[in-house]
Amino acid sequence: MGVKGKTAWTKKEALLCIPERNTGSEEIFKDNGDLVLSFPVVYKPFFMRLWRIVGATPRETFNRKIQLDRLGADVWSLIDGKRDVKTIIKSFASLHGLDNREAEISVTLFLRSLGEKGLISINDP
Amino acid sequence: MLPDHGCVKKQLAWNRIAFKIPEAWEIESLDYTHLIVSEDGNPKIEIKWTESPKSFTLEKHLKKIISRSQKLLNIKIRKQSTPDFFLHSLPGFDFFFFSWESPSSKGAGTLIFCSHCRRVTLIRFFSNLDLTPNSIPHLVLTSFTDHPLTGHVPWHLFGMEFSTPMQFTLSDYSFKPGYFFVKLLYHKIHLTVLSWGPASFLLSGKTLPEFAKDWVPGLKGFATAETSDRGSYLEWSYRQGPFKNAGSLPFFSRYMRFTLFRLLQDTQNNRIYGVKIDSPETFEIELMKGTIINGS
Repeated sequence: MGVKGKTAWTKKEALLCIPERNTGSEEIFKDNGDLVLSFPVVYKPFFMRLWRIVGATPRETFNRKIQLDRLGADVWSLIDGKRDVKTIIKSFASLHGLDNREAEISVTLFLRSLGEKGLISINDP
Repeated sequence: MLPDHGCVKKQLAWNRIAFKIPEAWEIESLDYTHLIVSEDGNPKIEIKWTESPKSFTLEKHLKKIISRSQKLLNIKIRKQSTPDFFLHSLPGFDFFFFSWESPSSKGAGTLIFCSHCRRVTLIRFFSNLDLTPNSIPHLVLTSFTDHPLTGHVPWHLFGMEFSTPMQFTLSDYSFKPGYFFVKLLYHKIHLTVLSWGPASFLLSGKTLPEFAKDWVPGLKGFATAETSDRGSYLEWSYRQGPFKNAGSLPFFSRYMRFTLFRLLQDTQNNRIYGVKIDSPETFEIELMKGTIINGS
């Protein structure tokens, strides 16, 4: 995950962090409200070596796609590099009439998975 | 701390314990007999309760609980006198106030003994929450109850609001984002309250019977649409054995269970509620009516 600086925050600090989209991702909106994110992923060194062994020109990246449902797309749209995690949670909770704690758990898990895929970076408050 | 705490309005009710808290406070963790409420991850109040043994002397029992709590929570407890202004509106509660101190924090607290249900509850408030007139601790404690005041037990947490007949006790629960359930038991009757959310998302392009087909496996027969004072709902009613066609075998007919399942959409809270009762006996429909799902 693109975490800069500290590796462990308290919950209060973590809620004040600002997630930011990585610029390499492309968005494709579907009719049913789903969102497909296409983003470049760097090949692992093993595959790079394999390319060389078979004599092909090694490619450094390939495009991976993930499909977000309407709820995921809503969180994605709230990530603008200005809103902190707490604000995103509150906006998401009020948008869907959810309890804050329920929204907090689902949004933070979702942000973590986006971070692990390299789609967002988390900036210190 | 603000001088006026009219903000202590959010109702929290879990496993017969009920009290009011400020709007910004959230449940951080819960257990069958334990609750931690926090604000932005900072603990504000911790509650632990236990039933009293059949025969006991209150003084010894409280001493035992204090000593156990000191060890368990790694805190030092010092007795405090009851504040002059403090008065609980309900009879039967004895309050024993204390201050507590741990290596990293300190605060106020109280032990509450209820002569009605013989439950002892330890409540401790975390730092900067002093017990003064109209303070948050004062308003939380005056709103506290540990037994239902009517024949139904209220449940109010994570946006869920319902009440269940008093004789049922909590047997299992789960609160995962999007899907909650609370299971209760009385003799061999199982009562399960389920809740899914957000309803607007789960029911987009889908009807309630289609939702039931996808999300509630094992429902048998057709649903009938009924209306109650809480809105319209779908109802399934069927008998079920331990395996297919078990009912046709005389020996296994004793293991048949009667199931009633109701499903409704709570538009106000954007949730879908399900209530399931299954029992070895033909149960009374009144039991189902006793399970109330509040729309507000």
